[in-house]
Amino acid sequence: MNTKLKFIVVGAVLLCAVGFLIFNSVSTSSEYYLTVGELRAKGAQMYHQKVRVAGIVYGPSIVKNAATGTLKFTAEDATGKLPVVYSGGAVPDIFGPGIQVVVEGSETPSGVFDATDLLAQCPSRYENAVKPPPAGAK
Amino acid sequence: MAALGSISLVSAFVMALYGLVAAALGIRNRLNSLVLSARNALLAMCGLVSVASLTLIAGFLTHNFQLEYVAEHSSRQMPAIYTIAAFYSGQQGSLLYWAWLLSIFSTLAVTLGWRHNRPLMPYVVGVLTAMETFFLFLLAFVQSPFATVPFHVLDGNGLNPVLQDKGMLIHPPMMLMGYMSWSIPFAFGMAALLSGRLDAAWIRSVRRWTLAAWCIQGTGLVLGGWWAYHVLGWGGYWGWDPVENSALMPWLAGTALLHSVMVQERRGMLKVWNMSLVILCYTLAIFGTFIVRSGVISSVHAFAQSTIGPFFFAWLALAVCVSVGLLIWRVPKLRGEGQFEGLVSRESSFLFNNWLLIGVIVAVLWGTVFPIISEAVRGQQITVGPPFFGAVNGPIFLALIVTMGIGPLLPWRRASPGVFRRAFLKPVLAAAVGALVLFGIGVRNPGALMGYTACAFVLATLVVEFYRGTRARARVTGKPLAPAFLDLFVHHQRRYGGYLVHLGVVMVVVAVVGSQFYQVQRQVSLTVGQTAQVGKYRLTFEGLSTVNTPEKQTTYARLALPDGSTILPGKSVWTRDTQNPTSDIVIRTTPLQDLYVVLGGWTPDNRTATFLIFVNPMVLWLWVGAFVVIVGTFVTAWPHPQPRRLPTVGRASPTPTVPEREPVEV
Repeated sequence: MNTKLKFIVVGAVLLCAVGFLIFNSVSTSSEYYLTVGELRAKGAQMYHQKVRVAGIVYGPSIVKNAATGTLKFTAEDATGKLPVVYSGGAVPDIFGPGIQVVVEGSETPSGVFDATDLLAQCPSRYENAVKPPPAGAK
Repeated sequence: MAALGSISLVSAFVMALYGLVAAALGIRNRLNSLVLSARNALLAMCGLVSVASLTLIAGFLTHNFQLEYVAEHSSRQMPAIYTIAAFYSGQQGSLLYWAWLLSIFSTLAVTLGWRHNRPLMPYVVGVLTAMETFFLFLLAFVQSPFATVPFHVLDGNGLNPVLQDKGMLIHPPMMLMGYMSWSIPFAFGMAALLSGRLDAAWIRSVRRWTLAAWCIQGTGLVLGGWWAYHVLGWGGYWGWDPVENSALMPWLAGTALLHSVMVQERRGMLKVWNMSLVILCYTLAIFGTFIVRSGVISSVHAFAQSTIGPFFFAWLALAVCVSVGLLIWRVPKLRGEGQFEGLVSRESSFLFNNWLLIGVIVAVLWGTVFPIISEAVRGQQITVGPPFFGAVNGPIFLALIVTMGIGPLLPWRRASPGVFRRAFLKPVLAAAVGALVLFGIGVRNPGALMGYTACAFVLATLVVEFYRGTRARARVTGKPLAPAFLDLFVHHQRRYGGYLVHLGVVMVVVAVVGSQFYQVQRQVSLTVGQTAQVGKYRLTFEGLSTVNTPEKQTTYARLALPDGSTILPGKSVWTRDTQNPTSDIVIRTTPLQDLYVVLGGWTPDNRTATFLIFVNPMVLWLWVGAFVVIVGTFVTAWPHPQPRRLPTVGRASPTPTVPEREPVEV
């Protein structure tokens, strides 16, 4: 076998291996990424299926149980509301009212989302527009 | 102040346009005076962008809230140092920071290379000016950092307390600098293609600037991991988030380039491949910037999503089309001077390393853009999380590590079976012994066992190489072993600096494998007096205490360890922003594992608190390894005291023993 052919064989084997790894892993570890409204619209078909849901934390809904470490809150967006129970442990410091979060877990038939993972979007920037001072301020 | 900044930016843009025209005409009509003028325009541009940048910094320091950008990103009570850091914390400022650095790096590249790379320089000046023009256009006309507000602002919005951390002072500027610095090797590559001077000169400049970019971007990545690990309190340092992936991809492409460049220097081969990698590095850097800024992919790092996404996309498309077009046009001039003679040789090991790295890049890219693809194909965003990246990249990285051990011991051209056996007998035996020992002490997870065995193998090859080199050096110079060892880094800096980098990489792998496979995580709720057992640690909760300062109120939990020491994880509520408490994480580092404790919360009666406790094995070696990599890069890149002897390309036959073994002296 000449050298060029050997390289082609090695290259083809590598290509197939990497392709297989990607294909195989995509099919085992992919999950839907939905908004609250989309999850609600899918109804019962999503129960117990692992998904990621993005929403905004509704401030007054936050209940932390320091004795058990569970966190309950409602994630909402323009299209719906989703009660979430999270007992996975780490709550990011930036978690709080109005923060954009992504919860990973599954919806239960009771309508409560059982989250195993909670990611809070880093408000890296304060992008609030500067507002004029209220009338009367000097 | 706003006027000064705007005028400098617009003047710099005009200067850039002039420089482009002058460079083009100077090259076309072979007018040296015009080329010089284009270079001077580049220097003037650097001056003008510096004025604009310093103006913005002055705006921050004087709390000039008339400037919208200053009002949005700083406030009066912020410490001065973070007020300066606010400079690059938003869209416009970070663009200005990028443009500023690019102008400084361009000035350096042109000034340092002017004499010994003279024929390439007109083109380098032209390409660098073109890149700067893009940023100056954005800054002057699309996203000006000097926009003003039409009313009086009493105080600015301020910067998020989470960002007011030492990490903010070093990680973002390093990261942005890393992205930016791929521009310089790209400029040299394009200059070589445009000029048709595709000899050895351009690849040397490319190698040096690629080393710089690689080191800067790598440092930025590690600093990001350090910051996440020490401040954010989720117990990890890498999350395969799109923003992290975007920064990793150009770095991986650069890693490939730094290896395959050697094949071109030594054997005059892989020229088209190398040029493609130069293009890939830059386009991946711009692609990463596009991903990060455009908001097309959601990430836990929220960046200012704005109107500049399309501009970056257009620039990316332009860069790809022009560079690939030039490459195709010049392919006839990029013919290799040699060819691969054997499947097992130094150059083929570099090629395999390149293929594997490209495999990682493809996998990371695929995982990163998968939500977009799935949305386009199936109308629904589907994400792949960290398990995907681990499952795909784990095996590829394993192969890469093994290649890292094999490659340096192989001779150029072709390795005979005898050479192969002699070179690898000891390292393979060492790896086998290592595997047995690891199995004996309880490393049973197949992934971890394979990873650590590969590490043992590479480590053994490094020891053998250093030992042989030192002994040969001692014999030739008559020096004792210790000075002979140090000599290696002075007289054979590229080779042994590279080995230092490999050593650092092994340490990083040890840390990643350890923390990946053996992390222990527990959430516990303890009432005063109760004890929790996590890994080998027994922690007894002794109570809460609160410390008040004008700045913040911190609640500490006292946890006692059996050795009599206590640790105090805490949570701080800041006076200036009560909505965003920060964690005071306790990390107790030992060479074999970190104890990592986060205080989660507590009941109102202060009797019960929840903790998140991690035991992260080997993480110390991540930071040590990264440091060793940086030191090794400096050793490799340090300007050589004497001109290197360039090996002749057409050497007769492969030497019978493993060549390059003994340092050739005097």
